[in-house]
Amino acid sequence: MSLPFINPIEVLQQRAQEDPDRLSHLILGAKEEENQGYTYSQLLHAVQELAAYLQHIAEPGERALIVHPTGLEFITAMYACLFAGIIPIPTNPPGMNRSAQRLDAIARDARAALVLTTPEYQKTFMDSADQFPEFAALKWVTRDALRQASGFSWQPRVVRPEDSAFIQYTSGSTNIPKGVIISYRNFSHNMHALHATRGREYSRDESVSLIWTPLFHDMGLLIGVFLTPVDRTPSLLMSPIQFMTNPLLWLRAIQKYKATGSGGPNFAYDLCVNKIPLEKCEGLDLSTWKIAYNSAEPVRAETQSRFAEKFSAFGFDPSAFAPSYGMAETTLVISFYTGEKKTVVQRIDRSAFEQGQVVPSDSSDPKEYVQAVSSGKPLVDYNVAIVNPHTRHRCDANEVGEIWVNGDSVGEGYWNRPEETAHTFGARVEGEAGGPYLRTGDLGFLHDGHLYVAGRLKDLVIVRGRNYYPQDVELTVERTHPLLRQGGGAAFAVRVGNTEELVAVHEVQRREAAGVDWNEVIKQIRTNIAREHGIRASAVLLIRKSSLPKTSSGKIMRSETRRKFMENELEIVAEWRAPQA
Amino acid sequence: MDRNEILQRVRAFTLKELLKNPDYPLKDDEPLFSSGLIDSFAMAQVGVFIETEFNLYIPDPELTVENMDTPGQIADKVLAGLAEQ
Repeated sequence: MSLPFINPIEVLQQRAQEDPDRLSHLILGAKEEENQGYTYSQLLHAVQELAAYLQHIAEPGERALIVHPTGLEFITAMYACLFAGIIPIPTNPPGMNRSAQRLDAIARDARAALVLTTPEYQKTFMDSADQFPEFAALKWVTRDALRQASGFSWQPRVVRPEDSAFIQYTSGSTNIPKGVIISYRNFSHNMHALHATRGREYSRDESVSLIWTPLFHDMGLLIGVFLTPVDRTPSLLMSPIQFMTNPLLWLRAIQKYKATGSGGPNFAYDLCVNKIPLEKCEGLDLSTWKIAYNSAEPVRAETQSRFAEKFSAFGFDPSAFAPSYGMAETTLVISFYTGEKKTVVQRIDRSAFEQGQVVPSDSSDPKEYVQAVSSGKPLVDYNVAIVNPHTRHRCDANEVGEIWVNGDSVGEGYWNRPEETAHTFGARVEGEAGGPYLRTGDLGFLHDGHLYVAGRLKDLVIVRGRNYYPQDVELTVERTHPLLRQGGGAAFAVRVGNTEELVAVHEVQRREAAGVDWNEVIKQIRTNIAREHGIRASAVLLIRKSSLPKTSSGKIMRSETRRKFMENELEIVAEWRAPQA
Repeated sequence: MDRNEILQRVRAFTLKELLKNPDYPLKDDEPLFSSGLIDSFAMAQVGVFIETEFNLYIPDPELTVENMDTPGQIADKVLAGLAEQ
């Protein structure tokens, strides 16, 4: 299938020509009068001005770190790099008090030549610049520098599909950042994939996208910055900090601006259920919300039902939930709903599942089944294979295996890492000619054309030949007591002698709680794990609130938690460990 | 704690948590696992029950159907374990 090439540079020029005064992006401030927006023509003007300057000071193909918080400057900087032929690298801007260590690591890895940032960050950084002399020596581009330079004009350039568009650094469960190169071909294909999901709900004149997820991550970047001009929909952006401090601001913004598409990772919906008091929801109206995407971490059926239970009284339509699956390595999306029912939940026999088999269950006893939530169907001409990660043979239809994908959205590889690129992006299924495939590192299965994601391959807990998905155990722990934080747990395996043992770690809401004996709670956790999973935990630790290692996007870092457990670095409130034989 | 008291607690746990039927006429020498009355998945529950009720840890290699198939065998295992402490 040959799809027309979507080039973000041409898209923006075209919008500015056809619809110059239409709202392109709007940054929501704390108050409405603090909102800042660009129309298509304003955005194009700002982009061309910066691009002209970049063409003057840098060579095409050089890399630039984008160090901007959510805002018009971030968006302008991304587009300006594309216009100038510079390869932008969106990054997580460190707080004013935090070290530039991670930025420095990315800049070195990418051999970046430029830093596009705010004058405020530049000043803060320069105060401690002696720690990072190479980073300090890059070309710094701020609005102040731009103001002093004028008289340049942008020189249009030809973009080929195989050219690199930008580099997405993975949020990194590991300490060494890796950059995924996204070409214009990858970009174009993923834009088509996202387009393909548009069902009856989509209307150019009524659709409004609202994003609070960080723009330096694939979800915020692709949807919040680039998709909306392709779609001709206004993109409303709030900062992740606004959402994290008060998730009600997100829902209120959906109401106020009549947003039709918005979403986040699963934990965002949990946060709304847990943090938003009902009495604050008076007058809330979520009835415009047609697509509530849920992606970037495993989707829990329970989270979606709890959210629907709480917010359907405020006009939320539970059928708006749209789980999806993707990653920086595939530009953004792999699978999503395709016009029909957006959430499909399948009951799978638990015991068979633990042995890697998918057998639908009609049991009503939660001990006997797991609820698998479909992440939708693989989009456009994606090829998805479920493969045994050890033998590299394709799995049978009812088997769980590693998810491998092939398609034009799969990135070109990791920047400057030929070995890891070959391993991750160049996989071949034994005995088959197709490929190459990207190894996602996730376990899952296909059922009735739907893709189900079971969890990270490296996080899988294998004890005495049975497979335990950490998410399942974490959910059991969390349900034991209301003071155990939602999404605040990590389950993992440790090696004791010659066997693997299960360890469960979970955050408590507060250390001292009237009438709560944590040792009793731990006993109950051990009982529940045994009852629901048929396995004894060899250690259960309750730790302080917010002390569980997580990535900047809120993903649980199980291997880092395991390391802290082994090194006795966890902030323990109460614990139980099996006596060592 | 004597054997009878241990046995009564094991019986109460078995009826309530494993069989989920307080009226089941459970015999002290009735095989629970080998008979298929309960699946071996529940062995972990028996282990945690002994840990929390008697503060006694039975290591995995000893927590087997062979050793602990009947309420009587479970009680004996607990009694022996407590005596060793």
